Amino acid sequence: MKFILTILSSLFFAGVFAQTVDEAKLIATVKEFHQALVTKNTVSLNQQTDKALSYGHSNGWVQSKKDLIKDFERGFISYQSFKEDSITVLMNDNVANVRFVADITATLGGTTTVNNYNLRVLEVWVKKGKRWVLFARQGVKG
Amino acid sequence: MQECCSFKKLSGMKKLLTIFSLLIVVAANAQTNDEKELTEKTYLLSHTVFGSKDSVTLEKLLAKTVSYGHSHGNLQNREEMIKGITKNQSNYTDTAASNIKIFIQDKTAIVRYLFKAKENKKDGTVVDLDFSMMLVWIKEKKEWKLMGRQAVSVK
Repeated sequence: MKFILTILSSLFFAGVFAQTVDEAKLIATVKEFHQALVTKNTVSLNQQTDKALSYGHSNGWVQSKKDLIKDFERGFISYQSFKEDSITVLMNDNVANVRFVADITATLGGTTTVNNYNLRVLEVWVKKGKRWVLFARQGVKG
Repeated sequence: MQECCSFKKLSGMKKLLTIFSLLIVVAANAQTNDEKELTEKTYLLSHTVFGSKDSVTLEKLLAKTVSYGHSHGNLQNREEMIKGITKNQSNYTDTAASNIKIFIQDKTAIVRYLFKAKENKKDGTVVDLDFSMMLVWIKEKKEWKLMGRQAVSVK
């Protein structure tokens, strides 16, 4: 009986541990993605996002994956800094709703005016094989 | 003999082609069925949130865990969401959902649409709502269920 209990509790802890590891890995990926936005690392951005990505801004503007990368390349949008805080992860199998508060500075439309944004963001990440990729994002002014 | 066999091969080939095209049709239909279910559930959710406010319908539409984000940035879990909707004393008129777009990735779907309405508050004031909505649906036991929602005001 004790033996079974030990096995059961080990399995339980292994499960909890796996979940935590998965979450930690996902949060690291999320932060890497945000820094790739700042550095305009389009190679990373291409790998970190799903081809059906829809990236929604707080004014209702939605970029496709193509738009996201193209708008960096043509200098339409540029992030100076991207800080995330209070990250929470809601995981269900291969899907995760990642919510956080974002502090962003960015220039838009090729101008040099720096805008500050304090946003509440929902990002939807899906697991493909061993990697998490961003499927959708929606920001809202907080 | 030769002719007979090449004919047989050809007919085998035809069969294969028929099977392949059937599979393609089935796959195409499966996609359409998902999109159909997601569209219907999106409308039902909208009618429930801004119309009937029926908790039983809500319960059926929601996944076990849900995060429900409002246009002002406040966030609710499953329980808070159901309570908030069923006890909402505003009455919504001129509701319109348009521009529905669906993105499916395996067992996850994103539905985006525009929502407009007049919110008639209990105190008599009327507010124009103009939202861009993002819904996250997941397949739980072969049915699409809502796992996330984020509204953003585009006024």
